[in-house]
Amino acid sequence: MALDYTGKEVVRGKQIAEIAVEQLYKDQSIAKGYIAVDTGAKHGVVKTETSTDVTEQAYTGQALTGDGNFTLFDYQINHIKSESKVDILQDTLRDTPFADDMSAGAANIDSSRFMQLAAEQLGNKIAYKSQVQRWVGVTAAQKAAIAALVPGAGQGSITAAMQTKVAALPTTLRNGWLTSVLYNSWNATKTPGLGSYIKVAGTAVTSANIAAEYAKIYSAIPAVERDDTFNAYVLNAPLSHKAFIKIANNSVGAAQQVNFLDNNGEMSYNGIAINFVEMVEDVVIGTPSKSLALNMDLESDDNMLEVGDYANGSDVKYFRNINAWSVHVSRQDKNVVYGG
Amino acid sequence: MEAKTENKVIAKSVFLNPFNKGVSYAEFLAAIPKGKTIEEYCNKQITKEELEFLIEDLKHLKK
Repeated sequence: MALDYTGKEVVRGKQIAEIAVEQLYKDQSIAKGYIAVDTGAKHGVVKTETSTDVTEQAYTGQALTGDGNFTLFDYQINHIKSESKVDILQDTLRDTPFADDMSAGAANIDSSRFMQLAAEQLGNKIAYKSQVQRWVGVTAAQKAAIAALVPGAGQGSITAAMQTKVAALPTTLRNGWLTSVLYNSWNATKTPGLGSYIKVAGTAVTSANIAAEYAKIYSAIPAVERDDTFNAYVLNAPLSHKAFIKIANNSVGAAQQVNFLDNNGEMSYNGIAINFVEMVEDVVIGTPSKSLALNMDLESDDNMLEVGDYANGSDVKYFRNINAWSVHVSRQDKNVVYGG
Repeated sequence: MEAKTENKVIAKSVFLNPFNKGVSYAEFLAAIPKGKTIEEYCNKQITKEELEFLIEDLKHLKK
């Protein structure tokens, strides 16, 4: 039996005190159009990238030999299918306030209030963990591959600090956008290696230096992409940067210099939107909108929670979510990685 | 006896800029002459900010 919890039930009966529930950050990246979402794929998606070049030649009036090319290449990204499951025996709630809405009778241990709370909380937590994994997920194989890269300071090499950051990330079932930007095989020859991102040297970001650091990021954005209004450029930054920016904009003592635009919480730097996400500290990924993609079977898979009885003759119930998704990065050479 | 004049060819030491594309930390560190610190080797070759970044990033280098 599949259950889709999209609303709250009216609780009837005794007045029940409000329960303090865990607050989780709600990523708005998809809602704001920063992330492309490809759904309807059961197993995976095939991506095609193209490039063209043509050389202008002097007119001769004769049958000129063409000088140009149109290049395409495909690669496939397969979903990773996963299951999240929690088993609960409500009998342990008989001596708690949740017993208030259990029906009389020793065999009756279902608390609708608890079931509603558990479904909502578990559903939110599963969706939240998926959201975090999409940004900073890394598989064991990807960790090893990034650790094996030869580090350097210049373009075309990964910083040693980023290797340290990746090594410290929790290992997950799938790679997220950060580690995919850093290392992938999404090229014409499908050769795995360092991603072709634009590197900006990073440092420990604070409210004191954040404006200067964002100036470096801004300068590194390719000019065409910086001014593109159709695929507006976006800077995906750690949650902590929001506080740093607000503090920087309202410096105590010195004459105020508003470097960042704060329009009711929508922040930007020189017209480039800043999207606050579960990103590693001191790392910012700049991308044209929708060059980061989420590939899924069904977008609502994140919110589907199945509730059922564990086995015949058992009072244990299970809450279960099944999901299949993967991430992808396109237009790699237009992406800026601060701290990369 | 005639004095022989030696034609000396003095090799000019070339600074290996660690920020050049394709230069690994291993190559950069190997290029530093013995007895010189990173700061001395990079003196006036890279900016102060680049030097600070370099020294900080090298702390993360796997041994």
